[in-house]
Amino acid sequence: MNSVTTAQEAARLRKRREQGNLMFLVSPAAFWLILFFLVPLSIVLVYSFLTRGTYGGVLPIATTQNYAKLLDRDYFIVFRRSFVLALITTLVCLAFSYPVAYFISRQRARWRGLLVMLVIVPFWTNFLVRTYAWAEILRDEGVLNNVLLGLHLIKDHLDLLYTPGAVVVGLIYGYLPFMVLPLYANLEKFDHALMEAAHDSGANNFWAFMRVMLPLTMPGIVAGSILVFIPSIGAFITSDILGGSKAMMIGNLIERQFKSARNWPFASTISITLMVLVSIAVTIYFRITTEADRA
Amino acid sequence: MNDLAIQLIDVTKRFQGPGGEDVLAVDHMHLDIPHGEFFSFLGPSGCGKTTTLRMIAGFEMPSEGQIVIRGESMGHIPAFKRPVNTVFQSYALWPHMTVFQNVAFGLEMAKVSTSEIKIRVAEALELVQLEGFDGRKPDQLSGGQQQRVALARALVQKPAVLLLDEPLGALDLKLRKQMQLELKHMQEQVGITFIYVTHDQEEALTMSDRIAVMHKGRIQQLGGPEEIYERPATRYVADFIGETNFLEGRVASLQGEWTEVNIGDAFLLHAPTVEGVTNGQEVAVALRPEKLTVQAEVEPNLHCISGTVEEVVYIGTDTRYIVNLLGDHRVVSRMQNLSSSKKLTHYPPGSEVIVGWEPSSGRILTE
Repeated sequence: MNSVTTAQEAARLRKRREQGNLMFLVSPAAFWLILFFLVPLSIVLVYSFLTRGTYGGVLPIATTQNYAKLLDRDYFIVFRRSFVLALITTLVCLAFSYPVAYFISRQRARWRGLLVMLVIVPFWTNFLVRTYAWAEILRDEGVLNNVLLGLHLIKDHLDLLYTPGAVVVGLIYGYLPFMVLPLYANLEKFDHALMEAAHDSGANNFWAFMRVMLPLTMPGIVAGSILVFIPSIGAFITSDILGGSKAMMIGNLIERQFKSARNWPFASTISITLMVLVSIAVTIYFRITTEADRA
Repeated sequence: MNDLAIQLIDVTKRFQGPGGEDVLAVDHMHLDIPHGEFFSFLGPSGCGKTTTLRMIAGFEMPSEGQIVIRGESMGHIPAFKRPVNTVFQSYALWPHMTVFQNVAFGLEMAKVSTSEIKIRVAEALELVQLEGFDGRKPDQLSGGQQQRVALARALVQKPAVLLLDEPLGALDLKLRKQMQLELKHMQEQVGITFIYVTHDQEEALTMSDRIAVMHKGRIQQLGGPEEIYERPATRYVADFIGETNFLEGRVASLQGEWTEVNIGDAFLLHAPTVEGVTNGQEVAVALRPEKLTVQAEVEPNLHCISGTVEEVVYIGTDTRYIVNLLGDHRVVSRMQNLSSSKKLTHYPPGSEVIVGWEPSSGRILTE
């Protein structure tokens, strides 16, 4: 009896010590996140309720003016555009990536690693450089227009650069790997006997996909969509270079408020609002997709 | 023609090997399986049995030849349109669906009404004794229960033929034996043709009406369990099914029903004449260990050869004797332990004994 309690006690102590060790291991990351994420975010939140100073900076006068200002139609348009462009980007990335991820997952093991590496090869070049390359392709005298003109497919050059379409192209290009990788990780573990079982039960390719593969790869779809949607909606380099003032996104708005307009409280308001809206959107999305899985 | 569930006509399947060379998985197979039969493909891994099953299911297409199901040539008809269902080796239950949803899926695809689906799923779950498990997910079931769901999922669709790909492989021995009998009863109950793939000879013998013993893409022997076991056609079959002693020799004379075989010039024995055996031919005489008795004295109606006991192994139900016969032929004998008295080993190693068997137990193998 006594020895049993001693053993239990020992197990409890060992567990506590393990917990202690784990705490020690996570503490650098925790410290980092608290110092450089939670604290600045709190500052942003506080600033969003303060008044702007005459020459930039903030005055410690509480106000909800900034949030009221955000209800202006011009800002709504920018928010809506960002949301729509991010959504299109996510959907196109999903449609492009699923077959790619599926293809890679069906290759022999020794090819898979190489193919996954090819997906992330673009990351080896600086994002800014790659985005400028797109501007070079899309501009009036750019590669694409010259080729199309040269082939006499068009009479006059097309307005490609500085359009929402150009921004979407840039975003898809930039974030496609973020969709491919989680989908691949999911599909690689997928047991294809489950598809055979579906065919065996009379399901054609469409129904086998809809009822078996799609629900079972939903975690990959959710992860990939979030990884593409969030950076897309907050993008500012891509929209700055490829969208210009005609396709301004929230990211550009925030940047201008912080820098040119020197309105830190309003920039903070936009940031906080974006964060809240994205959180809501992601939560709703998560609910819908996991419920579909459960049903 | 119409009472056949399955016909394989000259079916061949070639695969591309890893080095790009052709591998013949199934080699010009002909086979007729009548309705309501419990048919087994038996062989080691790589003998082509699973490939044959997958071609019937429609997961693989034959390189040559054709597959006829219920008189209808399958050609390139895809799996989802064939009147067959498969019980997969790994069960392949859909993990995101409940037991009910797994079983109902095929009926949904066949656009069966919701009310009928409920009735038929309930019936199927009753058949496999899983009433009340409708709401569970596969990962909340034991291996044996998952197995039953896989069976219910296939049977609920009332296929013309049920294909089973080593369905009991993952179960422990006791459960496997129980499921073997249950499967056999189930098959008799539903009257569906079962085509069963296994590498376990005992499983095939226990359940099958007929067995095809496969080797390198060909059927080595086709017959009932008793025929396969008692009258193997080739050395391969005799060796693969159960344990066998081979006595190598040469045909000394043909005497009508009996053939006299000279075993390595050490002794002569008689065995029933088989088709195609010729005088002077090199043959092997196959003898099952349980047909050999180890005894002290010669008996008039038996073939009796003297030898020396080399090893005695007590295995509960039986005792195995390894005896070295005249002229250095080592044979295994299995004697049932009919009495539990203390004289477990009547004949300790080293004792001189007589090994006897009925001449009709010998099986002459020409190939």
